[in-house]
This record gives sequence, structure tokens and C-alpha cells, in this order.
Amino acid sequence: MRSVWSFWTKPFDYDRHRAWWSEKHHLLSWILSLETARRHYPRTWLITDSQGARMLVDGLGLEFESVSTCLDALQDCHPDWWALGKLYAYRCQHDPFVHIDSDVYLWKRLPSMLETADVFAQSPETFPLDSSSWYRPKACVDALNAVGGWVPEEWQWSVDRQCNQAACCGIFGGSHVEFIRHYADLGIKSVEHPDNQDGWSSLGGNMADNLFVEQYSIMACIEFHRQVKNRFSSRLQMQYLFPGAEQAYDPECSRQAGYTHLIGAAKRNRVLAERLERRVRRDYPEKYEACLRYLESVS
Amino acid sequence: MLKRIEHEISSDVALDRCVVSSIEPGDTRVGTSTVVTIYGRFLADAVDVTFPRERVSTTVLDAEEDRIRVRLNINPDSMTGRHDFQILTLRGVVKSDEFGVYFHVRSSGSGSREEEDKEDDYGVWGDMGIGGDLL
Repeated sequence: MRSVWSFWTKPFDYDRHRAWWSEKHHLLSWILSLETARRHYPRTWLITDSQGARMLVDGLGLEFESVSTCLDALQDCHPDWWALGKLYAYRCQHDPFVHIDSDVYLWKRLPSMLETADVFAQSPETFPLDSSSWYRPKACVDALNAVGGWVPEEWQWSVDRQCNQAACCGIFGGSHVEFIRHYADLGIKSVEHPDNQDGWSSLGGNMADNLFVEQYSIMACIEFHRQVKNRFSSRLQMQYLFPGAEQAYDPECSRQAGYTHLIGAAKRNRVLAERLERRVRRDYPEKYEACLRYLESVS
Repeated sequence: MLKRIEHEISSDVALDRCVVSSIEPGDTRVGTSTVVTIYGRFLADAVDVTFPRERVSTTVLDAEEDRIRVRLNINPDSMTGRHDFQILTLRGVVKSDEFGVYFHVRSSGSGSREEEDKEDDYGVWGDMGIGGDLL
């Protein structure tokens, strides 16, 4: 199974860098994410843009088996849509793969049930359908419909049935790459479609709309194609590393899985930042020094 | 704002319900043990003080009408940032966040004030992420 990372620099420069305790810790996380996962999945692939390749490969010296700068195609897209970089990476896949967020560390190989699954993700999420949730699928679909925009039938079907399932995609992948490319293409098309721009604008900025097009959309696609018989229906087995969010956050469960995800505000936690730095300095001293040299060279 | 708080406290006093007004000192660093004093009203029958967030243990040293002295042990891997706490009395449980009173756990480093503020802004429940203890 191929291991894949993506890095679209425009959202990072715009405001995503603020998610991290410091730029150094962002880079250290890249080192640890790659080095822990490559022990299990040595066929590594970075999908980024030219600036990202200069930073991670030329600057930091990360050693991927393959590097693509196809995210240069996103240079005119609004940086609010950070999930586009991931969706483009998913759409590039033609072999079984696992996409790993750069704040995820695989201390252990993934269970075989994930490695052989049609589609898999970190953990399922269930959210309330009222305004208290970050997810607002009905608002998104209504906004696009209100301006005569393009709405994937999977989304409309799912919203009509008040589906409230999503999949947390700290890791995401599978062997049914034709289906995954279809799902990724829907998300990309819905964001980029000219007829949808007024609809998205009417919703105002909302980070969760990235989660909608990535994490809600995958469940909408799976549930829709399970119900509506077509070429995808016979192979839509979905697996998760954790059976629920509660287990994901349980230290014993994450220890058994050998899985760390510095999700959300954890990237700004000073204690974790210090642990991250100690770990990289101890386990990958050459990479650590390369990181310091790179930071000095760009300061 | 001040009037609203005064009104709430007045109501609580009328019901002989615990009131929490402050905790001093208001912060400490991870991996330390410290004695704090919680000030308020109707605290004499307090039997325990607990911190819902992980890895802060407590021992009540003594309790009087207007104060409780508590020893706090902050584990080295305790979560940094703002912690609320609860006071268990013979008449029920009182939560400090009802009164806007919190205790702050800071990291062991000697970070700048700016860094400390950043830590407080983001040091919220859940900030250990998933499997953060494996790092």
C-alpha cells in the first residue's frame, strides 16, 4: 500500500500555519509523520506544489519515493478551501493507498482489515443536525440550490434523509480507488464549479465547510451508492481504525492502535510541542539538524 | 456585568449555597505541588475539591466558612491551560466555572509572557489530541 501526504502551501501561508505552536514544530511534525509511516509503508508519495517541494524536499530534505507538484493547479483557488489539497491527492490515486495527515504518526502498521478495506478512515463522527454542529450540510446544499448551483446527487440524497454521519480523515484511503476518485472529484467540482461560487459566498467563511466536502461527503457517497445500485455498490466496505470518537480519544485505544493525531488545538499544546521536538531530536538527529539549518536559512 | 454577578451572589447567599469568589495563587506549573486557597462563602462543610480535567490530584487541608486550603499535585503530563474545579460539600457540588473562577496550569518551561498567553488561549480540553501521550 502506498503512503501519501499532501501539502498545499497557499492555505498554510494564509492562516493554517497558526494551527501550530511554531513553524519549527510544523516541520518537525513532517519529519516524524514521514519517518514513522515509511517503516510500514515505504512507497511514499508527496503531493504538493512547487513551493511545498522547495520547503519539504529541497529545504528539509525529506526523502519521498515520489514527489508531485500537481497542486500548482490550485494557485488561483481561495485558501479557505484547504481540503482541496487533500481531495486532489485522493483523486490522483490509482493503487491502494493511505493518505496521512502531517500531524499523524503511525507507530504501528495499520490493521490488515484497514489495509484490505475498500475505503477506510480514522474514526466515524456523528453530529447534531442543529446549529450547534460545525457540520452544516443542509445549509450548504440549500445555499447551492438557492443560486441554481451544482449539487452532487449524493449530497442531496444524504441531506434529504438527514444523515448525520461523517468520517474523521486523519488517515484516509482504501483499495476501491475508482470510487475514491469519484468521491474526491465530487468535492473538487462542487467547490470549483462557477455556478456554486455565489452559494458558497452566501454562507460566509466557515472552516467546517471543508469538513463537509471532505468528511461528510465521503459518508454521503458511501451511503448513497449502497442504496442506489450501480457500478460501485458491490464494493463499499468501510472500515475505521477506531470504532468511534470516544475510542479514538481513549489513551489505551490509541496506544493499542499505535496512533497519534495532533488534531485541532493539540498542535498548539506546548507540552506536546516539547515532546515532539525531543522525539525528533532523539530518533532522527540528522533530520532534526537539517530542520534547524533550513529554518536558519530562511529566517 | 458587575451588577449581574452581585445579584447572583446575593441569591446564592440567600440559599446558603456555596459561593466561589477566587483561588490564590491562580496558577502553577506542571510537575509541581502547591497549596492554594479557595475563597468564597459557605465553604465550611467542603469535603473534597476535584479537577475534572486529568492529572490534577487534590487534598483538602482545612475548610472554613470563607476559605478552603487545598494541596494540588500537578502531574508532569497534566494538561496545560485553564482548569475549572468542583467543590464537594455536604449540600452538593459547586462548580467554579459558574462563578468564572479557574486555575491555570502552565508548562514547565520558562516561556515568555506572549507564549504563556498563547498557551492559555489554546490550552483547552481535548488539546492532547489523539494518542498525544505516545509522543
